[in-house]
Amino acid sequence: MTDPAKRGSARGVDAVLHTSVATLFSNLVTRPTGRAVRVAIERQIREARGASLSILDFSKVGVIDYSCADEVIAKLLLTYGSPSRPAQAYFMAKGVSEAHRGPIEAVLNHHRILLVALEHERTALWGPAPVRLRRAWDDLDRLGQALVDEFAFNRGLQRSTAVAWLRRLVRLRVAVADTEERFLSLPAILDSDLAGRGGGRSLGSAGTD
Amino acid sequence: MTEVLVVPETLNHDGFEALVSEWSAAQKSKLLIDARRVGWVSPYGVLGLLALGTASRKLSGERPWLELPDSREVASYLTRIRFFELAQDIYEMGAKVRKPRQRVSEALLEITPIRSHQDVHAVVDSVRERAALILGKRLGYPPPGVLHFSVILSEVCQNIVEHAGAEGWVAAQAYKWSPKIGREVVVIAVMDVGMGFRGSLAREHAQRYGDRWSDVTALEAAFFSGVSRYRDPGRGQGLKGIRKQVTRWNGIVTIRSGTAQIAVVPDWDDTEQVISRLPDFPGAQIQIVLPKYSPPTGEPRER
Repeated sequence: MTDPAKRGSARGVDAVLHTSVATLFSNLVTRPTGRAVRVAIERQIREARGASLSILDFSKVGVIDYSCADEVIAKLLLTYGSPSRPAQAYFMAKGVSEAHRGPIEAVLNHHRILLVALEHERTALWGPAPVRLRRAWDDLDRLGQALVDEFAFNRGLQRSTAVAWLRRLVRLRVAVADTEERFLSLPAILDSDLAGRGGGRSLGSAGTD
Repeated sequence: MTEVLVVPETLNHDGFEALVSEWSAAQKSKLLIDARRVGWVSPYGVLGLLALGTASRKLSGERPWLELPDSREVASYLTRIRFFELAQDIYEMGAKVRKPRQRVSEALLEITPIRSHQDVHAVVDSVRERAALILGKRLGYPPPGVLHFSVILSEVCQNIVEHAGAEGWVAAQAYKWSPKIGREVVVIAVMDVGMGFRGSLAREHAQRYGDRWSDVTALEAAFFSGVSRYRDPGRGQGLKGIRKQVTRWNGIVTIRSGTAQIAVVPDWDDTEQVISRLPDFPGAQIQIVLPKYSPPTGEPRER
């Protein structure tokens, strides 16, 4: 991208990358365009040299079609969600309008993947999440960050079940394990993205599958 | 020997089909396309003339002759929608090529050749304002609908670049669809004379279908199941997305390829959903008809 992403650091990751996806093109249509945008984002992730959360800002995007949504969003989520991912990277979308949502939801459903989105200052989980998984994500999102015992108490779960749910959210890349015991929702990372946090922290082993 | 094909007076979807029928029965020697009696053309019909001329030239190696419509109104419309600019490379025509006086006509999108992804970008970039005016103001579509329209345009145009292996064209226009619903609609027409759906999908999918492999099965696989020629599992979502969106808007999509046509048809139209054994014609011909906006069930109706 021509203008470098703003970079911050936060709890749970080494870097928060604020990326305007409309820097190269205002209308995100066609696969080659999507590839160009994705390659630029991947370069930023590489350059971050550690675990990162990329905030994909769609607020200046006019149109996004199915092909471009697939090339940018689906391929990023699939690549960095796979066990052979090139780096620890998480993604959140912001500035997504109602018109963008159709093609984005279509590719999420097609690949059965999830994306955390910021809509009108509220967070939402997009994609085909079963009801119980969505509830688990909602609870963690409400707490922001939670120790396993806190999450278990809140949901009325056995500790082992709470750990299983939290690890599942991490595996689906919609939450981060800060340590073996502490888990964060992606928006909570963004909230902690403040100067003076001392460079953030690396992901704990529980977050690396 | 020169064979004469007479273009129907109404050159719309049905008119193009009648013309293809004549073309299919012709010997593919030197052709004269007689359009003198044409009194009305739709975007699909206009692109059909370009497609027919291109297909004829490919087969015989000779440019067919085109007798232009006598109707001043039709000739003027063809000028405005840029037909003559593009037809001069396809047809021999008696008259000088008439260029539109102004660059922008009242059409939603004048005939635009699609050869590359850059052309798709250009179409999406250029159509937005006029789409807002025509779809938004005249047909009542909400602002997100105007953007969805651009997505549809983008995906149908990409279908040419990614699957046809040949140049194609797109055009869009708002007009009164009087024979069917008597109200204003927007029509998008997209055509190419490339390898068609069956040709595009054959290498990856024909074997699986065995004896059932045909133009119909290829069209159904692409349109309903999102099957693509590419192994990338993310491919094939565009046409599926178009089908869903147009259905939500109570519109029509017809896709003709080879000897078959499939369609998504709302209750206000009587187009058959699947037609096979049509006269063979190369490439793919797509028409999308969008009626005046009416909120899908569950969505609040504007007063």
